[in-house]
Amino acid sequence: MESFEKRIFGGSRFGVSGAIWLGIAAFLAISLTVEFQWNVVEKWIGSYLDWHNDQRSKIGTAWESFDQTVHAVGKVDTLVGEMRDRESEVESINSIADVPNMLSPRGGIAVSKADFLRLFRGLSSYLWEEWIPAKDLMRMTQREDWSRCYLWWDGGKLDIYMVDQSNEVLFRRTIPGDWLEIVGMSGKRQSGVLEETGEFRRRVYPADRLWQVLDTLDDDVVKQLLSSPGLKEAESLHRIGISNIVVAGLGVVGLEFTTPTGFSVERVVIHDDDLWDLGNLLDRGVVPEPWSEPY
Amino acid sequence: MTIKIIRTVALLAILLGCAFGVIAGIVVLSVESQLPQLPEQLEEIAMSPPTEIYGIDGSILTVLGGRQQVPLSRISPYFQNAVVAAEDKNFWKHGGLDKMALLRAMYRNLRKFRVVQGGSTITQQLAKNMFFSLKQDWHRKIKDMLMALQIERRFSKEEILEAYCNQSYFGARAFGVEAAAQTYFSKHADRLTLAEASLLAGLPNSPSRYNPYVNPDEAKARQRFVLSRMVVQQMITQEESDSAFNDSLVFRPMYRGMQRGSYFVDYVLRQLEGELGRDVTYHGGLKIYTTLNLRYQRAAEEAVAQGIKDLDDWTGDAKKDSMLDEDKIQAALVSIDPGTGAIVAMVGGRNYEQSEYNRAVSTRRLPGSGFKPFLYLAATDSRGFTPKSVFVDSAVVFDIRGSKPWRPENFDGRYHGPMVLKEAFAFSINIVAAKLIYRVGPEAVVEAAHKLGIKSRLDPNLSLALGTSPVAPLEMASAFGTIANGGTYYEPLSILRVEDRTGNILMEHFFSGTRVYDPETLYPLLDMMKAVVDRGTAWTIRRLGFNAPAAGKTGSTNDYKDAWFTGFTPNLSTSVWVGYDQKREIRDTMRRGITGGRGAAPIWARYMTQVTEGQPSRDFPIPKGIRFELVDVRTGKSPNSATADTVQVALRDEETKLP
Repeated sequence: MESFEKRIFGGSRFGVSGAIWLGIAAFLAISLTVEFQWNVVEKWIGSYLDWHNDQRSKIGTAWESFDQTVHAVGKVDTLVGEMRDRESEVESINSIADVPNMLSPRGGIAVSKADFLRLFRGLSSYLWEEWIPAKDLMRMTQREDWSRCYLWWDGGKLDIYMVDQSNEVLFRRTIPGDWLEIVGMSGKRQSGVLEETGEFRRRVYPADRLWQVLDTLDDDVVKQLLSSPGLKEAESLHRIGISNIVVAGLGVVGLEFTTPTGFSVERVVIHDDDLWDLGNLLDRGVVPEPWSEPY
Repeated sequence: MTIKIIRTVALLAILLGCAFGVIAGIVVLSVESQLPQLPEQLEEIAMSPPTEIYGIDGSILTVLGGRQQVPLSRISPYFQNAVVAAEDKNFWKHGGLDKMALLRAMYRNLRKFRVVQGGSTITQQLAKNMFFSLKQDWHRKIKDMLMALQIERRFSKEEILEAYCNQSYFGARAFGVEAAAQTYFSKHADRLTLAEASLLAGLPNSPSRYNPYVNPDEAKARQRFVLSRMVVQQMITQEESDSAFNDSLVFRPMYRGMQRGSYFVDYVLRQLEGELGRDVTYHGGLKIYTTLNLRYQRAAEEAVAQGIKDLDDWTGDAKKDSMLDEDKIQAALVSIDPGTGAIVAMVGGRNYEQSEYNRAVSTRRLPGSGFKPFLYLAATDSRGFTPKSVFVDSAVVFDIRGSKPWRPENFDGRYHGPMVLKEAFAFSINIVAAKLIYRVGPEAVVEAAHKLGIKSRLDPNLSLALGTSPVAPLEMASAFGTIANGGTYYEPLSILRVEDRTGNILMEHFFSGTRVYDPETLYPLLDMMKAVVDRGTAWTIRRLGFNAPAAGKTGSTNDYKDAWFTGFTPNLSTSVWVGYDQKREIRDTMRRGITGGRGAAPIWARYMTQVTEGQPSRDFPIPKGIRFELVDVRTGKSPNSATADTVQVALRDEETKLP
């Protein structure tokens, strides 16, 4: 029967002597011992894989979790950053009417009691009395448990929560966004004449008319008109315009000033019924009929 | 002859060696691209800030994710040795693979032609834990092995053992040995004794099976195994092993507390996911401050557990060995502070581990007579009825256009003749409720329910009087809370504020109430609801020893598929629901139906007794404009010589002036 060796190597031509076989066997035994003792093959494979480490992707559960963590922590940091920005932005705004722009499209911010009062008093009491009557605001101001105020803008309305230390809401109001938007126009100035602004095109009067009817106007309206920065600084009033747009119970009066460089228009916001009265007075230049309940 | 054998063996070895080399090369080259990259530091990618959830008293409810990394020098040497003995006795010698263990495993796996034994080293387990799924297959196994080889080349044995100790899962939401030591023994990992270390070292193999709280015997057997391996490895003596095994371990009692409120924790997390997203909620390292009161929560869980045990006994489910726990009766409890809307306790089912479905919030079931307060409020608010208005409890049929005539029936199937509304309410007379809604109109009832805080869609039909529109326990507790506080609705609130890991406030919620009814409008109803507890369908509450002023209403559906009790004190509004998920009838072994008074009210009583213990009892304030009058139960008029029974009713001043 042909030997295993012969069958593999095809006869004695490739045969090797017994001593060499012993050597091979010894080498194999040593190799096995070395492998079992020093893990040579594992180390080779390990080294090879480590050599290619940077070429492989960051995959697997730990990397996924790592990515999620990095993403989540980054998102949290962004949220905190946005809040910090808003907090510093609060210091730079002067009126509650500017809050929606700051929180748009949706969001909230906690402000100190002092900051809230500053923002709210940035509007004249003639306007905010409608939402927080002066006596309520006074009562709240006196409360020591009122610690701060949370402003939340969402869905076109601003929620105001005055809260104590334990987040109990002491006073709450919701102010419509369109009201804030129109109030936000108050005191804003742009160069040009009244006719260039569509809303005043139809009802523009010379400034004299206003001076003629001023005494017949309600005191609050007069105060509101005189609170215009232009009139306060005794700039030269050229003409007055009545807006044809009334939103959220408010309307706009346009004051056109003569300036060294031309003309500029400033807006003053008043209640729509006062706007109606003022318009009538300017039209007719006479005292309006006393208002009475319609039958 | 010897040379021939040597030659043959040598030839075979060369051939096998060559074959192994070729196969190994092919495997490495083909799998290499599917292997993940290793980080510079093993702990680098395992860092995940934990999300911590706190109760209202600042106690920690649970910690999600996060790993508390500790260096090897701060891990008890007992634990290090125990892990090596239990998981990989040749850890300090091998190069990532334990060849002998592997050959043994291969032999067994090849015989079965599937993976039945791992033979995994600590390094392989680390690779698996870090990068791969738990799925057992050859492909994953090869990847584990190759990654283990690379890990061994890149990191020292100490770094590998440290990473393993910090990465492993020990059950009870504890990742890493430090968290495990804190969770189970309330100590740091470097303080673990031999007994504690040997028990913990046995857990990563199967954390749920060896959980010492759930399976103490299995945990002890595993500890015995670990200790015996340590003896074999000559890490400890037999005497030390025996002594450690016989040491009585003192487990941290808070562990169970940390599991409390799991339904509540889920509820909180779901809300946060909606507001901040899933990633931020679970991986953002948030601190979530909630309204849960841990003492109340414990009381709620104990009351529900006792109630369920009683119900299992009554229904005979306890003796049905073949019945799965999740098929047995369920219960839910939710408790709200009526002054703020804060949810102080929530139990969503009999066992969170078996069913995470939160029946306190998610399930909507028929409230039965539990809905009658909304009807009676609609009737007494603006429809001219008062608690002394008289209705006759007699057979009645209502023709409903486009539907079969409706014939309401009383729960006891009997008629009781004329009676004042307060009496009809206390004893939950269905026919009077049906006649009342016919007069009041279902739309008014829907409006009253929504104003008080019911959010579910309600069908405005006559049967609404008997609670045929499904609602959730949370809604009921919230709506009854509005009655309890005299008419101010508070949105149920569970999250007070959310902070990031450094304490910046990301989100805050406020206790904001809206007045929906005047106290004097609600008080007559509240007075009627007090009668339910004092002498009506929920009298069992008084029998069980709860004596503080309370009001409420039982609810049971006609087919006994739902049993409710929702009640309140001036400080707490609590709703309890009992029923089967499969909407089976709740009947005792005598086939008698189990009502809200029998099934749900005892749970409420046990809970409220425990949480109000030691607190002075306070009655509901009587608003201005309310006066009381003693009337004949049958006529609603002042008692006279013919009066058999009287009842005191609360009336608004203007009502008493009515003729």
